[in-house]
Amino acid sequence: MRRILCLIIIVFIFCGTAFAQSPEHIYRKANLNYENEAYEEAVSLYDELVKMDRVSPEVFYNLGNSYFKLKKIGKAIVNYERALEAAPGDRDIISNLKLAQAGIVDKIEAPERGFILDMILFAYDKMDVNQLTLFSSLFYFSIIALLIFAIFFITQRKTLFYTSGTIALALVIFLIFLFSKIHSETLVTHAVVVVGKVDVRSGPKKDYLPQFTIHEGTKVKVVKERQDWFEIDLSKDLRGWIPKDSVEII
Amino acid sequence: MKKIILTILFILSTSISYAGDISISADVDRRQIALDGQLMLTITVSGSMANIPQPTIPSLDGFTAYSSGRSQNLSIMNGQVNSSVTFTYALVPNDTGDYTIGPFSIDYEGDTYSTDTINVKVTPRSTPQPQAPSYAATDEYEQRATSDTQQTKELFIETYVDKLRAYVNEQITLTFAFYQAVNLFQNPRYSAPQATGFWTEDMPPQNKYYKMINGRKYLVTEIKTALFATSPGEFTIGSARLEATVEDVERFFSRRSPFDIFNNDPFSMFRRGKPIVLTTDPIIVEILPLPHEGKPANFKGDVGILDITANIDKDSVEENQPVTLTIKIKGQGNIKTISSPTIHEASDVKLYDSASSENISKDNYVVQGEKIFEKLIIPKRPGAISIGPIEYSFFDTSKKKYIEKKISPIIINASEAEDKGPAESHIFLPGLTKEEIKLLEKDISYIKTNPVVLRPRRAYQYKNKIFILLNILPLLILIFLYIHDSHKRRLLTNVGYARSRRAKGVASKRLKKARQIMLKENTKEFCAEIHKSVIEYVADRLNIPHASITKDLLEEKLKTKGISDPVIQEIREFFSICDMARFAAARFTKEDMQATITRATDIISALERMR
Repeated sequence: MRRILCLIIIVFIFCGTAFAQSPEHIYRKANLNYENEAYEEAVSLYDELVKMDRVSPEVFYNLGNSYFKLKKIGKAIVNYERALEAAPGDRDIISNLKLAQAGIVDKIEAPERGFILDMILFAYDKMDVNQLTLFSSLFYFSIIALLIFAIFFITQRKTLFYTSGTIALALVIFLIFLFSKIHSETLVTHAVVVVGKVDVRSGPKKDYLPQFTIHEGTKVKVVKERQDWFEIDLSKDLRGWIPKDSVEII
Repeated sequence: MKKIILTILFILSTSISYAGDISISADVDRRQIALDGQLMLTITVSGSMANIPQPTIPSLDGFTAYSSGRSQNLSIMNGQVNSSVTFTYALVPNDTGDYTIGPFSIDYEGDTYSTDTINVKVTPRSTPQPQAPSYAATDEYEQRATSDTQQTKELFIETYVDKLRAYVNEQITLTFAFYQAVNLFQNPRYSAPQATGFWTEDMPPQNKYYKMINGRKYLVTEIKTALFATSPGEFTIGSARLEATVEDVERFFSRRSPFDIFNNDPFSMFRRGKPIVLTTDPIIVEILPLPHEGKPANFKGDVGILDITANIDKDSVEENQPVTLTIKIKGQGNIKTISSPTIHEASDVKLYDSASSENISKDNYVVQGEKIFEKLIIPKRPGAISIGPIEYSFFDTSKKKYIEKKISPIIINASEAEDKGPAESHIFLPGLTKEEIKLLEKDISYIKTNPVVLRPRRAYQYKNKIFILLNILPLLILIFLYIHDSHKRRLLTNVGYARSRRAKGVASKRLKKARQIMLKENTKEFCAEIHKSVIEYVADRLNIPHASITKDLLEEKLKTKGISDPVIQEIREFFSICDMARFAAARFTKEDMQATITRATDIISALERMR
C-alpha cells in the first residue's frame, strides 16, 4: 500500500515538473501572475520563455506590460518593439508602445510621412516577414497559374498576360518590402536605452568625453561593436559610443 | 574751430580783467547745540573770477573741526564769470560754554575780505548717556554684529537681522550697513554674507543716509536681503566683508588743525590710498518648526500673510470646451515658493495646470506680491458643473497660527456641444500635444491571454525547405507544360516536324515487323519491309513524299544535311543488298537477316543525330 502511495506521489511530482516545463504552462502561469499584479514574477516567467526561445508576439507584449507596470520604461519599450516586429499593426501593441514613449525624456521625431506614402507602405507597416513571404508566394502562385492557363487557352492569352503582369508588379513591390524588412530585422541592429540616462562618448572607453546624453526608452541604431561598447547612431547625425549594458538589443 | 578757441580766450581774459568783485560769508546751521551734537559750518566765497582763493581759518577754540567737503559752482553768463566755493566743516564741541567762531578772512589782490563773527552756545548733553547710536531697537531679538566697537573709527560695517528667532519660511531681513566718515578713493568691494539653508531675495535699492554717532557724522549705506529658512534648526549667517581704499588717515589726522591742509602744496592732495578690509561677526539665528497643532491637512508649507481669490473667464461654455480658472494668492511672504491650492476634482470635469506667474515687489523691504495659477477646466458633460471648493491654508506669522481659506464652489453652465465630434478635439494645452493628453488619461491595454503558438523567435517561413520546394514546383510544372505544349503544337502545325518526330517510331515498328518476317524466313518480304523502314524513315526525316524518293535524291539531300560519306556509303550498300534480295531472288540465311536488321538500326541511329 505504502509503495503504491509513494509511486503515485512520485508520478505526480514527475508529471508536475514535466508540466511546469511546458512553455504553454509557463505562459499561462505568467499571465496569472500578471493578473494578480505580481509583476516581478510575471517578468521572470516570461523571461524564461524568451530564454527557451519559445515565444510569440503575445509573450513580448505581456512582458512589456509587466515592465511598464514596474515603471521600467526602457525594458517595456524593447519588448513592445519585439512584439510589434512579430505582429506589426497590432493596435494594443501600438497604443501601449506610444503610451510608453510618451513618458520618455528624449523626443526624437520620426520623419513625418504623407498620407500617400502611408497608403503605399500600408502592407509594410501591417505585415511581418512571414506574412509578406506568404503574400509574395501567393502572388507568385497566381502568376504561374495564369501562365498555365495561358498555355491552354490561347484565345484568352492577352488578358491573362496583362493580369499576370499586374500581379507581377505587386509581387515586385512585396518582394522589395520583404527584403527591406528582412534587412532591417536581421542585418540592422536596433537597441533601446534601459538605464535612466547614459552619456554618449566619442570613443569606446570611459576616458573619452561625453558628447551628449540620452535617456531611458530612446531607440538607437547599433552600428559597431567593440568589447563592452556599442557605437550607436541616432536618427539625426548624432553618433557615439555607449556601454553595452546601458541598452538592450531589440 | 579757431574762432571758438579765440572766443573762449577772449571771454577768459575779460573775466580776469573784471576781477575784483569778491565776497565772503560764513554761517552755521544753528547757534545752540548740545555737547553731543555737531555744528555745520559753511564758508562761502563768491566772486566774478574763475579761481577763488582759499579763506584763512583761525584755530577754533572749544571745537574740533573736520572738513566735510568743498563744493564749487561756476557760471558764465554774457561773458561774466560768477563762481562761488562753499567750504563745509563739521564742528564738534569739546566743552560747554559760549564760543565765538571767526572771523574768517580772505586775501585777494592785496585786499582782505573778512566775515562777521558767529556766537555759538554749547549746552550740556541733551540725553543722559547717549552713547548708543541714534537707532532704536525695533525688535526684542535685535542683535548687531559690528565690525569695530571703536565708534570713533572713520569706517566700519555691521550686519544685523530684524529677528533672531523665526519660523520656517518666515522672512528675516538681513541688513548690512556701511558707515563712512571719510571719502573713499574708489568704490568699495562688498562680499555678501554666506546664508546656507536660506532662500535669499535681494532687496534693492541701497539706502543712503547720514547718521550721527558719538558726535561724528557718518554716511550710511544699507543693503538689505530677505532670508527665508528652508528647514528648522540653528543656522549661521556668515560674515560680510568689505574692502575699501581710503586716504592715508594717519597723516591726515595727525595735523593739529584740519584747516592746515589748505596751506599745503597742491601735491599733498595726491596721497597714497590705504586699503582697509572690514568684516562682521557671523549671526546665529534659530529657525522654529511650524507648530503641529492645528496644522490643516492641505497645508503645503506656505508662510506669510496671504489671501486667495479665484475667478473664471466665462461661466457658460460648450461641453468639452475649456474654461480658464485663475487663482491669485496675494500678500506678504515668500511668493516664489507658494504652492498651488487644492481643488476638489469632480468626475464630470477635467482639470489641467496651464501656467503660473508671479509678481513680486519689495516695498518697505518686505517681500510681497502675488502668485497667479491658471488652470484649464473642461466640462465632460452638459449641465451645471461645480468646481471646487478651492482650499488653501498658510501659517500666519503675525497671528502665529494657521489660517484656512476656502473659496466656495464655482458653477459653470456647460451646454451640449453642437458638434458631437471626438471629445477634446479643440483643446490645446501648452506643453502637451493632443495625443499625449489622450494617452495620459488611459492606462496601458491589458495583456493578451489568448492561447498562443509558441515558436522560436524570427522563425522565418522563407527559410523553410518545404516552403522553398513548394515554390519551385509550380515553376517546374509551368516549364514542363510549356515545353510539352509547344512540341504538341509543332506536331500539329509543322508536317515536316511531325514526320520527323514520328519517323523513328514508324521505323522501329517496321523493323519489329521485319523481325517477325525473319522468323518465317521469307527473304523477299523481309527485305521489302526493312528497305521500307529505312527509306521511309529517311523520307520522313527529310520531309520528302515517300513516292518521289530516289536513291540519288536521297544521297543528295543527306549530303546537304551534312551526313558524312561513310554513313552515305553504308546506306548505299544497305539499299543494294535489299535490292539484290528483292529483285535477284538471293536467299538470306537467318544470320544475314539479323545482320541486315543491325545494319538498319545502325543507319537509323546514325541518322537520328541528323538535324
